[in-house]
Amino acid sequence: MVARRLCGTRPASSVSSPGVGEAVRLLGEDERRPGAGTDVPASACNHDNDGCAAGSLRSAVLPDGAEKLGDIQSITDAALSMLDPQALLEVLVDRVKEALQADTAAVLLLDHPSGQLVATAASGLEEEVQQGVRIPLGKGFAGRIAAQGRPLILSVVDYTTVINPILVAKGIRSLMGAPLLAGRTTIGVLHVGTLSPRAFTSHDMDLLQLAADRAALAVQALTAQLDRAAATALQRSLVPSAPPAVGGLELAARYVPGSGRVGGDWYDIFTLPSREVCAVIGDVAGSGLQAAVIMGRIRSALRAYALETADPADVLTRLDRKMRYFEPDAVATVLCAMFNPSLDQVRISSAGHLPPVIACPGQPAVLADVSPDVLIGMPIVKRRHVSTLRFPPGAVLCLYTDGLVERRDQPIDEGMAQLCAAVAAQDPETGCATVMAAMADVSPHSDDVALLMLRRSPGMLASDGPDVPGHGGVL
Amino acid sequence: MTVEGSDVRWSGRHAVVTMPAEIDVANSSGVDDLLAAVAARSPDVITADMTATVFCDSAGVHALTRAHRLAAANGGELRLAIGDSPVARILQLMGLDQVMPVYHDVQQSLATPRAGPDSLPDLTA
Repeated sequence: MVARRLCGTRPASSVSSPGVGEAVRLLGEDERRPGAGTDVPASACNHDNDGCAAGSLRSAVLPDGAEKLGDIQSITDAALSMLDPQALLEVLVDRVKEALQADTAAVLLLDHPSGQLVATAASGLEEEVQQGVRIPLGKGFAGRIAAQGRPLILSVVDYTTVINPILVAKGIRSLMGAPLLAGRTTIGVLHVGTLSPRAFTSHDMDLLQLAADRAALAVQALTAQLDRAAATALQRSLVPSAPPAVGGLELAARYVPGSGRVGGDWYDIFTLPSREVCAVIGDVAGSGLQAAVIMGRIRSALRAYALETADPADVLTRLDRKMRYFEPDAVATVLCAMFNPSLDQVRISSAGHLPPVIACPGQPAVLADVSPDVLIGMPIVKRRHVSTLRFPPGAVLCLYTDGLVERRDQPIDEGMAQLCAAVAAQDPETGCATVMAAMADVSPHSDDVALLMLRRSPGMLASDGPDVPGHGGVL
Repeated sequence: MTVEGSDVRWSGRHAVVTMPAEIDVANSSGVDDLLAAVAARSPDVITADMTATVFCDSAGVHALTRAHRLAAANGGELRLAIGDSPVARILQLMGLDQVMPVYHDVQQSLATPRAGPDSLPDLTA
């Protein structure tokens, strides 16, 4: 890894949390061995006739450099307690510019969906951010640094070496950049530039890489915080703690994130114009914001397809086609249950989702006989099946995700049997509490758990359907 | 690239990847990376040996589905050797046995040549 190699004289721990004193001492070691930290790609040297080796036209004087490094570090430490990555980066580029006596400094962060670097903060080069500069990975100066995960020095700045016209128009003569690395992955680029020719030294490069390392840590920490907050908010909107009332059906639900992390489980329930009621539960691969976004898309698509067809297998087939085309990396299990308007029957299709439990009054709960079809998102198309079940007044349908029944120390059939034993044809709120208590027999779940229980109102006549679609109220 | 409890053996263009005893959110990305690295070498067949795997939650299943896609994208095939593992039931409940060829053990998979186009799953239904 470049960061390690560049700063090879530092102990590994200093990469993740360099203390000021430690960094100063280690810079001192580099000082005694000129060039020890130099790792300028040959391609840069070709353009850098006078300063690629450990030249010192204008090297950062060490004590001053160390002090400046301290400045950079204190900013990033303080910034970790702030919640605004933008503010952090703006302060950081200012300080880096000062520390390296450069005229410009800029941070570009990698935007994953587009694979482009986006100018996010700049000092002396504010146009980059104002004009929303985007650099494709592998192209131009910053794009090459990001693609190779290696620092780079440029002493010739023109259209043969950069693709960002602002750098040329600004009259920048020399550029030095370093990758922001998260493990082995590049998450951005930090670069500084000068308006007069400048031979950047190995010390300059070390300082820049240290600043980039700190920036990477701060950006990661802040991004993770923001992702968690956004994922939690999105998940809450997708898994409402109080499910909407649907005419003729009583509902209750639970959602528990696994190991404190928002996962990919969600459920949905809505009434269709036909007065049919559609209930959905699913589990998207992955966790965090990315999974939550996919969940939101699946939920929207399912609602749209449910408007078009009353066949749950058809709904899932359409969803699968859409996901394979537009979200080729996503995989999910989804179960779709459609109740007819009188609620006396439910049609169920399952895309790799565990079978629901059904309990009729006066009878033990059983696993619904639903054929397990292929998950959503597999590169294969197979016919999907529908199972139609009788759903008498007072009957309970229990939809859940695998986290509820999977245990390390027992086969899944035992977990499902345990669940069946806990489900009864009773009011869903009590039912959810009973099930969660019965199944919480182990230490905290590592996987998240979603549970949705629906009961057909016991006293309802078959001819009573919901009057107001979606908001019929609990009878 | 290593994942505790897993390893890769090659038999010609057939890679056998021993899966860990437990696959869950804690190690699924490691399993993911390991299978991706194997798939990147474009083997004809990857057999995921799950005969000693006793637990595989949805994170593990998702790692297998990604490996299946990667193997297919590289012109290969992902197979599962399941033995009497309790994981077999989970894979069946998730419909994965309809997508990935399942064998009792690694020897059986090694002895079975790559399926021809005629035996590919039904794409027309």
